[in-house]
Amino acid sequence: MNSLKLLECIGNIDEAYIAELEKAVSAPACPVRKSPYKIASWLCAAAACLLCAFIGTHFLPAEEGIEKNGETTVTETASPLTPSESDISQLPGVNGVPVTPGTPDVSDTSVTASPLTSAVPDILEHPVAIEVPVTPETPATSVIPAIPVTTAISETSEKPKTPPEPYHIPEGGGGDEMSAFNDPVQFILLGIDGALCGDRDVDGWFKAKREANPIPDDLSGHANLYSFIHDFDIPREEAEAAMEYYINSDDPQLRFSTEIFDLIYSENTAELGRLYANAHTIAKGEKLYTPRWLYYHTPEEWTAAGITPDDVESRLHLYENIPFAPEGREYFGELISEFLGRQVILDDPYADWVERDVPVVEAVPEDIAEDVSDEIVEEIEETDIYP
Amino acid sequence: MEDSGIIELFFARSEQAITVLAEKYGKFCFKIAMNILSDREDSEECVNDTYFRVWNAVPPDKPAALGGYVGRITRNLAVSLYRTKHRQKRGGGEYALAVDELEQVIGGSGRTDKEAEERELTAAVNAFLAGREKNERIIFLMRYFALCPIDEIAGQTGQSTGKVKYSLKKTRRDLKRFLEKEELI
Repeated sequence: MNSLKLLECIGNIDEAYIAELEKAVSAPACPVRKSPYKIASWLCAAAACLLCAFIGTHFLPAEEGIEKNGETTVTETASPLTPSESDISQLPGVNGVPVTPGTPDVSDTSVTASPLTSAVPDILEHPVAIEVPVTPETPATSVIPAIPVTTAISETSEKPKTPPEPYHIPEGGGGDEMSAFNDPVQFILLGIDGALCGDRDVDGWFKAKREANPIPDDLSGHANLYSFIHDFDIPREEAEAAMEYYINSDDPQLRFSTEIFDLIYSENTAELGRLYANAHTIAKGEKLYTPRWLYYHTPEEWTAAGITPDDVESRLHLYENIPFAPEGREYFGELISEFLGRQVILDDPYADWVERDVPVVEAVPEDIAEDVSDEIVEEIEETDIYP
Repeated sequence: MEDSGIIELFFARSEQAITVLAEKYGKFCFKIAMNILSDREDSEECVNDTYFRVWNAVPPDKPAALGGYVGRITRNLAVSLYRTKHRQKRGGGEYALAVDELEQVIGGSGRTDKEAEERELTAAVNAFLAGREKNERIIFLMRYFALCPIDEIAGQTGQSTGKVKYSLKKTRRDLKRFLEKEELI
């Protein structure tokens, strides 16, 4: 038997599957729905760029120096160009003291006219203005920083150590890879279509949502379609009109039914959670306990929330598939072991495929590499889901 | 027109049946053939052969899923034509790439009872597909049944190429495990 035989056997599969395929192939191409986290990280990145540009243009002196109150500052000049000695010698210097090329006067640091120095206190006093748009739920950099959740859960948490970073996001990654860890609901309630966003301040909404509750345990606290509609008080007619494309779509991942709108607008979050919580999430009434929630709470808190060993045991195979960082995987395994009262090791299903921190091609053993076509190696490389 | 109506036309031996069949499933069949053969003329010939086969087979056949029925005929005809044309050496095109990819799953084996092996393997693949999420199944079949290029699958499903590749990789890995468990490889 060889791969050719397998490919031919796939040609003889059940006609029902081929008919299913025919519908998918014949349907109009789906527009790519952006994850709210990806949209938010883009917006944050754009905001950071604008801020840098703003600081650069308003606070950093230009090549010729900035005149303020009739004086030109040179010692704070941030120009990448090197002025000639004659240019420099002609400058009046700080507070009227001539500047000698090659001997900068560093003793006088009490420059009051510098727009940069005057800007610094402002920036320091308003740290929000230069806040790096990185939060636990919107990884805009390559590494998720240690989550500052100890204060959020410190009252009840008795964990002996600080949780390690649960995961790393590869350079250029948007965080979708960890949706199973972070998001409580299925894709259908996760994406917010551009037509529904309209002119609303979606960026601000995401930010407020994340800051208010970095580890949400219900639909209202998490950024999703339900909370978006309710927070912006969007009328049902408007929502239905905006989501028209998805209503009764053939694609189950995109399909919206009127029943979903019924549940959203009846505010029946318990039923909404029961029906649309993703497989990784433990739904208990109105509460939705994601792997993220579990990760940042103690086993005692799990029990207090009504989570049973069966709830966790039945999801172990799903938790294993989350692309944790090694230390995060180990830590989560320890929590689960403590909760279940037995040793649980969350195997890394990808460990034998790609060794972390090693370029993909190098990670493939030589004897296997010979059997793997360049095309496949290329595909794995391009996938780029492993840190 | 509904599939049942088209089948009725075939049963009535109306030549309009071919026209309607071509209108409804022609593009699908052509896409499959073109993905395998990478040749417009050969693909058109393959699709026309499909209509001819359907005309001869219906009746007595009464396919439950007409789209699947014609798709399968087209694919098998295209594969057959491909093999005829590339008897000496595997050439380019999506078919060759798909064969290479599936090499990971199945490797080599010394079994020789061909027909029984094929039946078993097809049944196993059916059972495997039954247990997959619809979205994963469609991506897998777009790649390995219809031989669609990755970027086309991504465009059609509204997902990034990275996600499509990841999905395919995961499904291949699971298929391998499944076939090993069934002792087919």
